[in-house]
Amino acid sequence: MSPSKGSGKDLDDKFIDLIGKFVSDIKNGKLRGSNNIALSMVTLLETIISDSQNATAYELCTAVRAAGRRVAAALPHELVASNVTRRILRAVRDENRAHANQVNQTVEGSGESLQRLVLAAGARRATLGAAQHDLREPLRDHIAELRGELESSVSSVCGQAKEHVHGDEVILTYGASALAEKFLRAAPRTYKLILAEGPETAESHAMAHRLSTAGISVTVVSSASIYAVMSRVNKVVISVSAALGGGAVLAAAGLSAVTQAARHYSVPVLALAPLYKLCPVHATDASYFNALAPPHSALPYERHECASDNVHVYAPMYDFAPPDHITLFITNLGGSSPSYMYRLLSELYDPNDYNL
Amino acid sequence: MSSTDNKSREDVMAARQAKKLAKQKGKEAAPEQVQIPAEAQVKPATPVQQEKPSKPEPKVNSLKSKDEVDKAVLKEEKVIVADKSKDDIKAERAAKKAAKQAKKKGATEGGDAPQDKPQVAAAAPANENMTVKDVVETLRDIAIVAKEIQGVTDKVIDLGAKKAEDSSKSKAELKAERRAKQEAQRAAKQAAQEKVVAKPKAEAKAAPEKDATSVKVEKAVKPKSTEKPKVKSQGSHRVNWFQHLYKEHDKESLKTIAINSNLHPAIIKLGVQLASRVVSGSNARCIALLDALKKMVRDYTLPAKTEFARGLEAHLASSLDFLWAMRQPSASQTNAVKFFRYHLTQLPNNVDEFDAKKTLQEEIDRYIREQIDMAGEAISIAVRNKISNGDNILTYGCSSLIERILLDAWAAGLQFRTVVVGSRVQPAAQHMLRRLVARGLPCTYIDITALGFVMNTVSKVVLGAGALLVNGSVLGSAGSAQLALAARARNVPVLVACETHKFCDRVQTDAFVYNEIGDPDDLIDKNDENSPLKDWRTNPNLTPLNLTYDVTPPSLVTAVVTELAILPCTSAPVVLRFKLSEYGV
Repeated sequence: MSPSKGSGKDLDDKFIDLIGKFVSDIKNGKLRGSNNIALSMVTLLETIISDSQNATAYELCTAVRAAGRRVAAALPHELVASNVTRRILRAVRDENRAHANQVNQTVEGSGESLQRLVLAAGARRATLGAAQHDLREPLRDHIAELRGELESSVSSVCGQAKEHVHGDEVILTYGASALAEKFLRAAPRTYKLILAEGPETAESHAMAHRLSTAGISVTVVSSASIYAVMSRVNKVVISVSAALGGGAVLAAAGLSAVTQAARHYSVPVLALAPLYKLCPVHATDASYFNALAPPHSALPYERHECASDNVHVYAPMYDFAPPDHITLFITNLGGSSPSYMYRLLSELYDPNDYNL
Repeated sequence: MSSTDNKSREDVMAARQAKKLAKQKGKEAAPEQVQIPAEAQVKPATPVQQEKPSKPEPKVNSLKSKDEVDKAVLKEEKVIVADKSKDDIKAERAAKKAAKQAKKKGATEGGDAPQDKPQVAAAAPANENMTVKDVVETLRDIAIVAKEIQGVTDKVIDLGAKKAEDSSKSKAELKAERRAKQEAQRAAKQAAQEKVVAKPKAEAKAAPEKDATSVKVEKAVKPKSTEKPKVKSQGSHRVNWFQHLYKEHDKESLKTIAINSNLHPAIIKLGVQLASRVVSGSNARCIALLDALKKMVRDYTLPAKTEFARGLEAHLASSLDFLWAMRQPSASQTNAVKFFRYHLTQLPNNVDEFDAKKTLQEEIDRYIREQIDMAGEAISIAVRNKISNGDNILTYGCSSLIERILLDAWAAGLQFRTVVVGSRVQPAAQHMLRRLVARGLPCTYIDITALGFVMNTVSKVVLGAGALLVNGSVLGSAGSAQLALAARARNVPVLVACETHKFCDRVQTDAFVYNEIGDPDDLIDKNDENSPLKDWRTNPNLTPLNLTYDVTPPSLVTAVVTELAILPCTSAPVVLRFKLSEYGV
């Protein structure tokens, strides 16, 4: 955390206004869905980059990181925004390195070798170098590429549905998720779906309704009978909130029950995780990252049980599944096992940016 | 149904009288020529009535024919023909035969419609030789019957609709039925309007009224014909693996309760309570059953020349058949019945009725006291010894035994916190929470989805059980296996509190072999007016599945706390053998 100056100092007021608008859009529910959030974060950072006074690597990095930090502070649950920030920081660094190489013609390390990972422990500034090029032009290509990747990530995840879901299989999915729904729609329609309702029942039911009208045979079970039906399930398909570095997963509350039951019956668990959901975080339980929803989702306020001081009611939003509960991550680059996620991390982000 | 039977019978009688009158008149002076065409035209109308919903043409047909009949009636009054030719007599006979056949056809059709059809058929030939008064009278009768029929049709339609709601059907069938219903209602309206107009007027106007009634009769047949295929197609909306578990739904079984059976009122009351889940929980069900049996024994009157045990046994069997049709017996109930039967067979042959009743009632009281009450106390003490100050005890759903254990432990001065886990579908846990909070226990309530959030702070899991199977599996309410699994993942000990009267000689390894399918509508969010699931019945691809039980394998249970000892699950067969020798259970 060497350049830990106050974040406000690095940013112009107009950028701060932009960030404020972005954050309020998300908080007011105008902007929903991790993919949309990722895309507008890219747009936000693009504006910041193209409107910056000085476009040297160092200046850009500072501005982008400051913006990312601001968003992360305001929206601690939108890990996607931080991930996108890291991707752009990585692009700035790559561009800067390419320029430096062009100038010096001395190749100090070839790409992302393990050696470089080990040696890259120095200060952030050291890797940025002293070159004073204007990086805006080349960064535009990088950002366009990133945007293209984000836009196509859902379709490329769903494109793999045929490889994983076959006819006459019984697939279990948990809760409501736009990505899981698209994935299940993309698969051949001959499978049977068991939809276990998640904490947000209305959305789960709506998803069940939509899938069934699309011609998929859907059985809705409550979150209590997941274990009972698990023995007949061939595959579990879940969409995650975040894929963690060690191969663990953060997802909607109640997921651990699903993955535990799946593990008990040795049912493969496919986690749908487009790369923008990959977080450079290593956690061993959900306490690292959890938030409580309003308790009325568990116990309605009108029930007078909860009026007593003696009663605590909890309704957490997220749940944690350890890496050994996940069989396969399906990213937009293809399937990868949980043990390989750390490698994807180092391909996507610069180790210096793991902490924004 | 029986009331309509009577009515239609009366009308048939009336029609017969009318026929007789007509015959008598015909003998005096019979212009039979007219009758033949009229009969011939009426006849085709009746088979059409028996046909299925293709109505528009038949309606027109019958209209014409009835008009002609009336014209004929009018004519016949003017024309007086003196002699009766042989041909005429033959024709009359043929007409009568045809009418009889039509009656027979109607009778073979079955249901409530046939009783009306012959009546129409009989009334038609009767018209010929009647005076205006007669005709008006018969028509009035018909109109009254038609009203009755309308009532019955409405009922049948309602029933049909309700059945349609409960049982599953394809879209096409639903549509067809709806169309039929609409048309029936429309026809009924028309008929009612026509009646209002027609009644005060003369007999000429009565003809269309009759048509309306005949149309209505026709309508009465329709719901039947659409119901038949429905029964076959109940396969959809049933999860394949659970086909064997689906049964006529509770709402249906409640309707079929016989009012005039010789069942004891206490048994019928219990049946309704079981079916509507007013009495739930294995202990409550067992006690309620024993209580009802006690009342049954008390009020039992021995038929003459019958051995007490034999007579009561027969009575008991019919009562139990009724109860089990309302809801499948729980293990505790099965054991209680076994116990009761055992003591019934132990009665000496020449036992006095009074003594026998006294013995049986005492045995029932003893069973409740020893097997349920004292066993609960013993378990409560055993579990209390396992709870220490500062513990976090997690429990799932609602169990009277667990509630007792926790309240006793709290009263004994132990300081602990209870985590009550509930699920959205089963509100029982909220009742449990309310009762615990009312006694001042500090509680935490979470939904089963939040299990991972609290499990690392829990020191013991205490679960109730519906039954302990002989292979060591625990049959509990849906979700308890998930709880045990989550506890195992955190190495939290799982204690199952289960009296030995819930031990059961069945063997089960998963929740599929035996289970109960709860009301699928319970899955739908009650607070949400337009829940996306609410029209699942019209969507053949969408099936809500509401399981009641869940089987926890013995590997996930640390120990079972019984009144005898704290045992591993796998000791269930030993306990069962012990009980068999001691109680005959």
